[in-house]
Amino acid sequence: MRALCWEGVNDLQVRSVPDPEIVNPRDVVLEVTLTTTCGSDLHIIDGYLPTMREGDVIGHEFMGEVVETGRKVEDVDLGDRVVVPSFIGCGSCAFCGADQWSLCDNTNPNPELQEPVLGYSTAGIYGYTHAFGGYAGSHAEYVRVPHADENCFRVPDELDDEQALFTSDAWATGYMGADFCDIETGDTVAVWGCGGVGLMAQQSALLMGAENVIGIDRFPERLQLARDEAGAETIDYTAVDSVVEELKRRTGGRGPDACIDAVGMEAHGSGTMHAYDRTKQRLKLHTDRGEALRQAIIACRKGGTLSILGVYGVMDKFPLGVIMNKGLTVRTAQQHGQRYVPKLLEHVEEGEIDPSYLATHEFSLEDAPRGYEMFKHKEEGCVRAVFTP
Amino acid sequence: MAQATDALETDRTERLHGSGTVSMLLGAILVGIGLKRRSIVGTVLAAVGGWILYGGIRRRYAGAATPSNTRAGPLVAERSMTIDRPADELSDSLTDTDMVSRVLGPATAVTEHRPSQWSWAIPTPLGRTAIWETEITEDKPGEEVRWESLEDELIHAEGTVQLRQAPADRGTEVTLRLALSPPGGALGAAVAKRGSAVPERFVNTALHRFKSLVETGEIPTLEANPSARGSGDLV
Repeated sequence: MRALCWEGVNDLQVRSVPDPEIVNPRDVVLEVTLTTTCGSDLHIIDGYLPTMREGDVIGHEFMGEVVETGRKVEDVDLGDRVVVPSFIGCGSCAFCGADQWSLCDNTNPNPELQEPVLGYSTAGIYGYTHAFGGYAGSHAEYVRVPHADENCFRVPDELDDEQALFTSDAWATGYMGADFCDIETGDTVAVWGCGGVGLMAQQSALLMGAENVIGIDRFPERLQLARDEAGAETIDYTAVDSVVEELKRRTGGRGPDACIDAVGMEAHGSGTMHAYDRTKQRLKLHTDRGEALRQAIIACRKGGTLSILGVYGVMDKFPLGVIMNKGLTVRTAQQHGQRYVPKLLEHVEEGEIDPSYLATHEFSLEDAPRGYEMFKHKEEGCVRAVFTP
Repeated sequence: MAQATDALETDRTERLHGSGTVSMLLGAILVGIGLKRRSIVGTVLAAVGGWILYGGIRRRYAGAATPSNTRAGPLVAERSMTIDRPADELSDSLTDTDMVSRVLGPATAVTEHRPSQWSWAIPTPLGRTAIWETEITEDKPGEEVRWESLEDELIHAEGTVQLRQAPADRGTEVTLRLALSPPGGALGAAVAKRGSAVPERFVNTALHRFKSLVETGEIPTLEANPSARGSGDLV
């Protein structure tokens, strides 16, 4: 089959690779119908996360049709149109039982690669580093899905593929980020980043009852989407002296009740801390440019909630004292998609949110490297490049 | 399993002959390959390599040491993991050769050839199969399983699995302890020092795989995993 492979830093190529097959009895194989870029892919493409290997098939946000089932698969049938969360859960361990699916104990084949850094291993994920499992990704004609009964969610007939696709990751992540905020009447939620996850976090926060949601970015097209599609207010951080002061001004001096970081380790900024981060990252002295996260910590009101969705390495210069002295609650996780996907599909069915506007650009699989170029550089207002294998 | 058993019968008397120098070279290569590969099979390869290497050393320097009376200090590794299954069920799995074979992976077969005595058939390059024999010395259901290698095995090993109920229905705390005693006095100690990661990696990987198998009925794998390198990311 054809697949998009990581061949080195900033080197993506569409190659011919072997077809996946049923290996364990609860596996299925999907024919991928739609698969999309994710901001976290950029961290591996740009070489900031270790344990990629040349030839790895990338991609982790996808949907498809079931074309092969293992002998112990019970709830998934041939021909089912399904969407699949990016992190793989087993459904049997204590973490899956607690609805913390991305912490699953039993789906990462390479736990020993994570344990020296994290202490304990996470679940496996498709199309990412080998520390996160090394599973072949979804930017391919076919993909193997382990523990299919737990990881395949049937898409209702009334929904288009584009309406279902982003429940796989971008929306599930954004929704979880808003869920972490325990939103109450009157709350203001500030969201750093107006990419796919940030927009979904903004829209979800409003759905959960936030009084006001403020999206922060610098790209005019994304800020426009935040206003027009997500229903948020916006701040162009390049157009204000201080994002923190601007947020105080808009919240009567209280600050946002909750701050969501939907940016991650390659944040842009305009201050001296950003220049410091960028220099250290280029010199390989640390992994993260954390300006957005630091800003969120300082902007958040006393006793507020900090919800971190961005992907980070091992950041230094992390203002823990600010968190402690302000009594912030920090909540964070890789997405627990299995907890949220059924609810998200219901929201689409009921017409409450239609995330298909994230699919700003469509490409064939053969043109996927071009799609990533556009996505990475936000060309022509690209929010998400979607591939049709 | 049948194939592995056949191999066990046909190769039982083949104890990897050859000149001391060739054995040393082959053993060193296997140790290197095994240590580079992060898997149970890699661990086994390293162990077999160490075994062959020692055999070569012993032949090359005949009379310098005997395995029975000049063992180096044991390499000990221990790790605990909480498994969401009752202790009695885990005891049954720990004494089930099929389950243990699955934990070790498709390349290695464990069979019970006499009551409580197990043969571990470990493939080596050149199509041979190395046999390692152990005996269960203690089996207290729901509490503890102990085993050790038979007296005449070159690499002496003792393993213990202790089971303790975790608080508040959180399953069973499983502690696996493995002690490997390499032969050969100072030479063995030198080899052992280089291979100190072997038992640690074995214990950790074995516990992870055992936990996945008993909790889900399968072990996560990159077998047949597609990439531009080919199919599969296993050894």
